[in-house]
Amino acid sequence: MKQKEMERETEAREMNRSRIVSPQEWEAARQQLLVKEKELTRARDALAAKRRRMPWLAVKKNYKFDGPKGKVSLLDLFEGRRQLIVYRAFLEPGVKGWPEHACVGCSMVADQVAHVAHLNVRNTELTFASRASQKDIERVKARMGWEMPWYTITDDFDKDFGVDEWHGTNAFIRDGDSVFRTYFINNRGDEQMGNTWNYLDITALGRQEEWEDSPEGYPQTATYEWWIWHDEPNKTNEDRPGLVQLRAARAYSKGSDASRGKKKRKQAKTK
Amino acid sequence: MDREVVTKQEWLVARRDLLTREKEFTRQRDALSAARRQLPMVKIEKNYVFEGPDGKETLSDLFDGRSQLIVYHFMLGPDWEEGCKSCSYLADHFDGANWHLPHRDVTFVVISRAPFSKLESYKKRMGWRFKWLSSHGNDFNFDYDVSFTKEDEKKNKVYYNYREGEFVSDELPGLSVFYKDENGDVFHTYSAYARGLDILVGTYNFLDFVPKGRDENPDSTMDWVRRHDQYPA
Repeated sequence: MKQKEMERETEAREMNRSRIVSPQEWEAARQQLLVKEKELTRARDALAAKRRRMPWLAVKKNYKFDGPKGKVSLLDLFEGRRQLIVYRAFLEPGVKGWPEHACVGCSMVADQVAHVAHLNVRNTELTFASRASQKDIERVKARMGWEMPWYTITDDFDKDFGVDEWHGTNAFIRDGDSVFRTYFINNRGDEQMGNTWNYLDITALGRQEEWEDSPEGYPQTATYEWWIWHDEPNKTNEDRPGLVQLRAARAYSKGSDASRGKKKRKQAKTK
Repeated sequence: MDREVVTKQEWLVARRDLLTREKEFTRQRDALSAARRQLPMVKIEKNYVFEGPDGKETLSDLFDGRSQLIVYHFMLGPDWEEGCKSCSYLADHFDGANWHLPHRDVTFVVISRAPFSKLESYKKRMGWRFKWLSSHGNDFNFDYDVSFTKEDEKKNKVYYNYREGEFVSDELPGLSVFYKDENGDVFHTYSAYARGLDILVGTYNFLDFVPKGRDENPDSTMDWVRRHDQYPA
């Protein structure tokens, strides 16, 4: 268990000492980086502006979900608000961690949902949806301390919205009783919803993952494999179910990135 | 509301076009993070002592056995009645990430200039778990350009976000990152202010997905934000 930690420390020790500079030199380097950061902030604003100009797709099927108060429609999920975001989380039989946990990555996304009051006041409802029963969803939510609404998918909703085999986020808007799909994102696009990555991106060491372009000697471990369920007792155990699941999911993700062929994706399916 | 309702095929064409730009942006962002890791660092020579739930602790103590420390500079001055509402909005996003940050060698704390007892009662009201310490009586907030003196106010000139500007408030938001080496020396690696903190607001990231976006007044972006217990029902 301590082995990995010690290796990391040794690596960190080898970090380039020439980076230590005077406050004036640091300030100069920081100013330069700030110019690039501002560029990226503007690029992000421009991208969000494009999203607001996406065309709308009418949702014609009458999807049904199980909720805490019984059967509800997609329209009901809006809770009277104008906009709805649905994150498809994997919490159901056949997913590693069942019945104690949702998928480890989906759990991490759930951990990072802040107080929903701030979204609600922007006329926006945020909801999670899975295949597990309400009873199971309630149990896992209570244990993990999650408070967002979480519904049970009962029909083709997941298939029709691209989330039957892989996590993803759909955004909808309502005009009276008519519902429109405006946006869908998955894979690394879902990273935007997780602050953990944003925080790590401002640290000296970064995410400490092997794909990163970092100075020589910086600690790096296998991408995603440090993810945990926040209540896991043996967080560094090599055989822990969360890690097994992540490795399988990564292999699947690579498969689905390389080829959109349904057959290949089915073969690589791990859940 | 301006809108364009299309067929699924047309929607997919538009979505794929946007996806190309989104992927470009993700790569740009990765490159920017790589540039952050190339930033040099400055050795900290001052001995800052803070007051927190574990009594008096130095900046070095705050690392809690890890090599990296993130400090959020929360705007709550010694004379303030309650914490800044926009910082409270950001703080609603801290605890979730903080389940995971320790597993990447990062300790996360929040520091303000108000006395510790004030921080404790506001934290309880808001239901937060993160560690919050007081820098009351030391130079920490001033050295990291997030607190300003009466003198600054009189001159109406402050240094914030790496440039000189007008005095706005005795406290401003920011975030600083520190690194501790094997000899126990502590270094400052990074600070961000103003919209540099935008990426930490998960609510904004969600709002950037929906058709209406953040829907904000460009001259006063967070004017819709309230403390989460103060939104009208």
